[in-house]
Amino acid sequence: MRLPSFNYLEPITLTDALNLMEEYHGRAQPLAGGTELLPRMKLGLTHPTYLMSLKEIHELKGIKSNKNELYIGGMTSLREIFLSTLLQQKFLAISEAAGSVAAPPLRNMGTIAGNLCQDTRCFFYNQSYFWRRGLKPCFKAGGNVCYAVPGSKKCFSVYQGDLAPALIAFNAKVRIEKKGSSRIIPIEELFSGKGEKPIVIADDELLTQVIVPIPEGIYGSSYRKFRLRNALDYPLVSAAAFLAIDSEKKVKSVKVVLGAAGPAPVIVKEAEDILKGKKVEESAINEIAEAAYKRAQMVDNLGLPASYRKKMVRVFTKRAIENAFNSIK
Amino acid sequence: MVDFVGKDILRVDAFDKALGSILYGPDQNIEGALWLLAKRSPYPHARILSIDTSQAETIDGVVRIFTAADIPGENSFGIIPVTKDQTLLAKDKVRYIGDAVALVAAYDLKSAKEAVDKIKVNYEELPAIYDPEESLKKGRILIHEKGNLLCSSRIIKGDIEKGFSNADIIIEREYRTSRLEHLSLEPEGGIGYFEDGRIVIIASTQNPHYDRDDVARLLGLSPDKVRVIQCGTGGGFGGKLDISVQGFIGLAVYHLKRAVRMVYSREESFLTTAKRHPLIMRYKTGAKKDGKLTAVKVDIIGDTGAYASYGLAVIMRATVHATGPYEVENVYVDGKMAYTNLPWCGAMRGFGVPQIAFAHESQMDILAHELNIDPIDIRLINAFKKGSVTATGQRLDHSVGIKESLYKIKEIRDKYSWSKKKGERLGTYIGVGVGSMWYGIGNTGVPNPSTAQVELLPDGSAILYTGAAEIGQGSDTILLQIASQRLGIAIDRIKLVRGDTLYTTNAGATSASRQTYISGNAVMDSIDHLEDILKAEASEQMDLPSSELIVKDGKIFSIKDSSKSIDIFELVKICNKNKVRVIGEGRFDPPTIKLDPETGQGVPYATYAFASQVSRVEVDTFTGFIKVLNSASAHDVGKAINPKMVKGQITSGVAMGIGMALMEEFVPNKTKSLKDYYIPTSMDMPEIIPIIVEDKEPTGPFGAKGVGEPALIPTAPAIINGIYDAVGVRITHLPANLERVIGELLKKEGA
Ligand SMILES: Cc1cc2nc3c(=O)[nH]c(=O)nc-3n(C[C@H](O)[C@H](O)[C@H](O)COP(=O)(O)OP(=O)(O)OC[C@H]3O[C@@H](n4cnc5c(N)ncnc54)[C@H](O)[C@@H]3O)c2cc1C
Ligand code: SF4
Repeated sequence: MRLPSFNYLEPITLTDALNLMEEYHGRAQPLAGGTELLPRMKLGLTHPTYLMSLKEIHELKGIKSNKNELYIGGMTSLREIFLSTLLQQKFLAISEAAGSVAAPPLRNMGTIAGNLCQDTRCFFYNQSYFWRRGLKPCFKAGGNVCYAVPGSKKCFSVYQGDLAPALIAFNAKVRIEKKGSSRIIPIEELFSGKGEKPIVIADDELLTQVIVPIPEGIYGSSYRKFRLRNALDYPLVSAAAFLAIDSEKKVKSVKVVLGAAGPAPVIVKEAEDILKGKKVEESAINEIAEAAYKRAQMVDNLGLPASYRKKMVRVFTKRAIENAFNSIK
Repeated sequence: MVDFVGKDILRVDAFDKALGSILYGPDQNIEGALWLLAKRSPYPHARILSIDTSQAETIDGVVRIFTAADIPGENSFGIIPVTKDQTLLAKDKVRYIGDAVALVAAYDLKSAKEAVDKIKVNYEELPAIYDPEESLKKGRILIHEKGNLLCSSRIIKGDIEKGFSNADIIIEREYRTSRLEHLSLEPEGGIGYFEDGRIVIIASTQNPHYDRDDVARLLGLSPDKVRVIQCGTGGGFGGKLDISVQGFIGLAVYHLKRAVRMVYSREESFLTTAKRHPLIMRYKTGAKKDGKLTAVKVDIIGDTGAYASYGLAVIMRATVHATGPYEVENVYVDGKMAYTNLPWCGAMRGFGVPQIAFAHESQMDILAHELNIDPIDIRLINAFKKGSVTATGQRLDHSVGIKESLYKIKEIRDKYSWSKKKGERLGTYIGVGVGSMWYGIGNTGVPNPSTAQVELLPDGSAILYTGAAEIGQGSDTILLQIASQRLGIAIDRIKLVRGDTLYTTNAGATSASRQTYISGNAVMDSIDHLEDILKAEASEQMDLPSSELIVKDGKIFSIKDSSKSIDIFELVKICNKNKVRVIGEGRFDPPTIKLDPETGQGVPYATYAFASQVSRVEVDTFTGFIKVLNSASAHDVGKAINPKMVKGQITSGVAMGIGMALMEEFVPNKTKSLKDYYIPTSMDMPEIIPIIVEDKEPTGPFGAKGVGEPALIPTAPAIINGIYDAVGVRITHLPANLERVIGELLKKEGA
């Protein structure tokens, strides 16, 4: 399959990039590692007229920190995030999530901004032109049918990004910039919850930085991903857990987030009520797993049946919490 | 003294492949070549009422559109001469989703695509059949005029009822396997042009001479009017034995007399090329308390899909191998192959034996557990040895390394104390499984000769001519190693001319693990002939009778007086001066005896490869996820001409076998591409210990047999038996994917 034709822009400073975005009225699509965008272009799912590569903008690369916060530039590669000792020590779930994306060559190219801004996916949508041409476009393709849930009025495509759940578990934020302005929002607000258009970021905006507050006290975290093979596959379901405890081993705060369980990452809000102030015990973990199970929205549009993926929500929620607890040193 | 056999010589194509300088089918291009694209059927079964190409023809860039009416010869092809039932372009009927109905030639792919969409085909839909057993019932709609039974095969030995009445235990089970896709590195592709009054086709293939003959037949030409050249082929696994783009390219060049190009997309390759036959295998196995088998009764029903391809060979091979590598006195095997309206099935690494091995090895495993015998021991109790008689009545006199292979894997298993235990994480269990196999080298009970030529040149070098397709398995290197050892000339002094029907003669297909044994022998034979020529010439020059001469270390000596000698290349110079090329012609056809159509008795193969494997697997009972941890496979290859390459084959077989065991399944109408057809990644590989067993085959070149397909065969059974060992559930339907494993675990829990 070949890439359709496009015009190529390559700014070398962030200012230039933001200027270009304004100049082209949002028609300059940012190209980070290209590992998600280019396959979609090859399938004919999107046809940007201008691709604006961010790869020469060095100010968007790298990991920095101060006492309170960790800063990851939008163009930092997943490989760097996976291998960072700082992340491995203090933000294990994020490093684990980065290390579980696709496969090493894709992690060398793929970036954190691209990972967060990736589109939702569906078995009936992410197919080549050759296969789709006989069918009427579905909601996601601008039409008004859904093949995954016939008769439904909306799209159920799945957000399968690995990093977002882990970052949300750490209460991370993102900096979004456009010419002349900059705003910071919690990552969960990046997602609309709608399969048709899952990412809320304007056409002239760039995601430039991820900001993670450094937690205080004793804590652990974990990201667990269910997939068919040990490499290459997107999550069929995943769970990130963050767990902070006091000196008596009672839970001070907890956050559990599911991936691939709907058009946006799913925060299991019940977790805090169930565990806060208590010791980490199996019954409580089971209760959270049950709450997670109820929150997961799954339909038959990925590699395995929804019923089976849903069962796995329990298993992986438990594993994430257990591993997070065990990672506390 | 040169020494090339038994050495880890670097593959002769290693550098070119690593540097990317080899052009594969889809890379082939000629400036200005037209693109070809087929219009394909959207229905599994339908009558073609009319085809209207008029609108498509008006598209700019379209040069011509072909339909069945444009085929000048016989519009039927197929690799087995007696079952050529496939149309290049469908005439009256389409039989599966993907059957080609028209072919567009255009200046560019975009116009070709547009034209394909604009061709109007008027169909009358017919009821379709998707189940092979359903297909064989009377009164069903016919897929082919001659009926829905493609063929059957039967093996009868001893008295099956007596065998069961003597048994202390009888195990009855049904096993099923799935359609599989070959997934070679590159999809089908090639180019064609007209040159010197011939149609030239350069394509990815396992079988250039067959391609030539069937293309000529389609075009109503004599075979010498078609020249097929095998280009770089990054894998075939049986999927490139049938013709794909070759027929279309031939048809277009025939009419247009200009260069054309055709490349299948991966989706097209998935949709329209052969698959592995799914088999339903019903086994009834009887044994004594001590584990000795008394009777094996098997009923096999295969689904060949819409066309025959290699269906006949697959069902024959499956029936012949149904006992496994074991002595069984009473055998009754009945195999049938049925047509359905699903994608057609053909050869795939092992021709039915990987399927049947999954079944017979599961049976052995059940027996071992029921009788409380070590699974390796129960195989040793029954394994063939020299003098054993197979189900077809063939006595195995040489090279029967099955027991040795079992000893070898037992050694490994015991050395590392591989055994059943709990895994590290809660809910995980580790188990150990064993699988054995036998595999007949070459085609089943039919002549399948290979030919080769070796020419000496006056500059001290040689040329080896072979029709044997190199598909990544390494025959180029192996045949050169054999030639260089036999000639006593360094390997880099021998040039290879391979897979071009104008310059090489038929070596038969690169399939059935046959090229080392059969083409290797043809090379040996050509050098025998070459030496006869040299001796005849030397006898004139030296004035001695040929019978008194021997060839040694590049010279011809008198047996009586070793001071009398002449350098062979001196002789070549003399011959060349007299305008005589020094070229030896070789041929080898493995001695076989056709199987009796009623009882299946005969000698299907001249020799067999044997192997055993032990695999250690971890089962996650919460998710159904299976991880293969370690694997050791011992293969009796007769003699490893190149041990490193043999180990490479064994390792690749384990990799492919993991796919077959755990995840690969082509679901018609659902599976489209690599996005929904899962194959293992490097991260899914276990530690693999390849072990070479060498029980020399006296009729093989330097004692060699074959390993290409055997490498795959014991893997799935070893893994499936490992799962049973770990958690006590038996998977009888491949692949043992997550859902099936979880399903079985839940059933067991419920019970
Ligand atoms: C075989 C395969 C397997 C994969 N498996 C996984 C997996 O397991 N898990 C997973 O999460 N992903 C997976 N991916 C997707 C992808 O590789 C990763 O998500 C990767 O991190 C994407 O980053 P990128 O830099 O390549 O993004 P790109 O492809 O460059 O961009 C992705 C999207 O983000 C937008 N974008 C990029 N940068 C910015 C920015 N700074 N501001 C605003 N928008 C931006 C782009 O316009 C585009 O829409 C897989 C991809 C492939 C091909
Ligand atoms: S869920 Fe429905 S609407 Fe959404 S991409 Fe899939 S088929 Fe289209």
